Amino acid sequence: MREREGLAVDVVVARGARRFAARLAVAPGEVVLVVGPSGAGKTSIVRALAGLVRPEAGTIRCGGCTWFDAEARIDRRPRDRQVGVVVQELALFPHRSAWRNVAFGGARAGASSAGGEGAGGRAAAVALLDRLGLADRADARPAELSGGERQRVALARALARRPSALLLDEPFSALDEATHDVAAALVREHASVRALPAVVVSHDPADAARLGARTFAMRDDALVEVAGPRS
Amino acid sequence: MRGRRPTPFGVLAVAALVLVVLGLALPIVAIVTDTAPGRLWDSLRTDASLTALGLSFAGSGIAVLIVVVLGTPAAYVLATTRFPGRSALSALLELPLVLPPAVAGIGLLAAFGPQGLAGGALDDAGLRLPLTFAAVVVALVFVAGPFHLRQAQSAFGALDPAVLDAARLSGARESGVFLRVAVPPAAPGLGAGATLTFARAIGEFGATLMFAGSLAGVTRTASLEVYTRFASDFPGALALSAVLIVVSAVLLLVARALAGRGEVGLGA
Repeated sequence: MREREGLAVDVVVARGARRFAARLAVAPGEVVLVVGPSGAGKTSIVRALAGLVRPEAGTIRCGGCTWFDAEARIDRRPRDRQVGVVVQELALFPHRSAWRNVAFGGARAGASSAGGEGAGGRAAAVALLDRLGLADRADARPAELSGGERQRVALARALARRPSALLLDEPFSALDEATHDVAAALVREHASVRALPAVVVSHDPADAARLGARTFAMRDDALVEVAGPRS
Repeated sequence: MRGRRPTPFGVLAVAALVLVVLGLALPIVAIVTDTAPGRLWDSLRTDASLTALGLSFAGSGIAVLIVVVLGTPAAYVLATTRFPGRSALSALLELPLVLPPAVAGIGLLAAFGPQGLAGGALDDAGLRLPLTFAAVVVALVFVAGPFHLRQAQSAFGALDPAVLDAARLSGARESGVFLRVAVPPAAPGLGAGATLTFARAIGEFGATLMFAGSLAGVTRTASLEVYTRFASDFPGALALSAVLIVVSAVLLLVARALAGRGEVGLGA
């Protein structure tokens, strides 16, 4: 298989009066961990990668596509970036059951019968929920789920839509130790099997070992690599 | 009161409540008790009453349809996007709620009447609104539409913007975000808005009278029929009023139940 291009980021993102600089390259199948205290700018950078915030300057490329180029005035919309995203608020669809949250949007990806909300879509969604220990909660609505269960549904939704990259902002923070290990292993497997570049934001440095990831941290409002890959 | 003596303020407040209830309820009780069941049926069986009720329901139904189809996406835009002048525009769209009905009628004539701002263009297109059923619908949309706009705005405003973003990130088009993610959780609020609009339209009087006139069988809705009869046929007017009270009460209950389900305040 020919080597694909991963995620290449070089941006400056504004939040209020502050400016956060991020420069990193994530290979296909590689997971990168971003750690640091809250308010350091990690979320701003993830939101910029997802297309929810427009960077002030720089470029974002992924899989050979340009998502953002300030000088060339390119700014792809979130839906066109095809990223699997977990945001800190989780932002589950409140009126949809767990599996319908996971299956949402699959119809449009369309290439495979596994997408959408038909029987195949349900089976694919439930299989993913099962990997996260939630098979018996597939028909529950978000309001009926615990914080940890909601977080796993959000993770399943991010993994479900055959994304071109994974952007996960605190995807494990509400999980207990055992579930945390399972979820991290699933992220690592998805990135590796589908050759996806993955950026995971976490406050837990131990996630580097769980994910086999290089570790980046925010230092003086800039993203810098602080540790090589762990296994 | 758990054994304590009532305070002077407590006594006054309860007295005020009794007066409020009496003042508001007495006219309604009077209409219902003054209308003997047999008499009610006789008055309603008349062609004029049935025609007027039919015009009211048809006009209000069409008006609600127009308001829901146009007003729901408009309220969504107002509630979910930020642009300069947004709150001023929002206030302007609510203005018909507090406008005196006669002023609303004059406004409609000035806009769509033969000599009105848009009257010439309508005339060229072969459309003459005043004294037609279409004019009734236009008046109802203008006067009652803001109820839905306002309720829909608050229903959409209660949505978490992150959830709408999540739909976009999941590959939904803007139309899909609206129809599949924004509308379903807002549905009770939207239903309450549509119901209130219908209720307001059923009772509309002033703007309809001034803009559409009171042509029997064409523009004379139930409220106008009540007005037409009150000098000549008071019992008939009472009977028709009793029907309108029942309809309004049912609509109000429906709106309240829907608003409660959507956790959207009626007055907010």
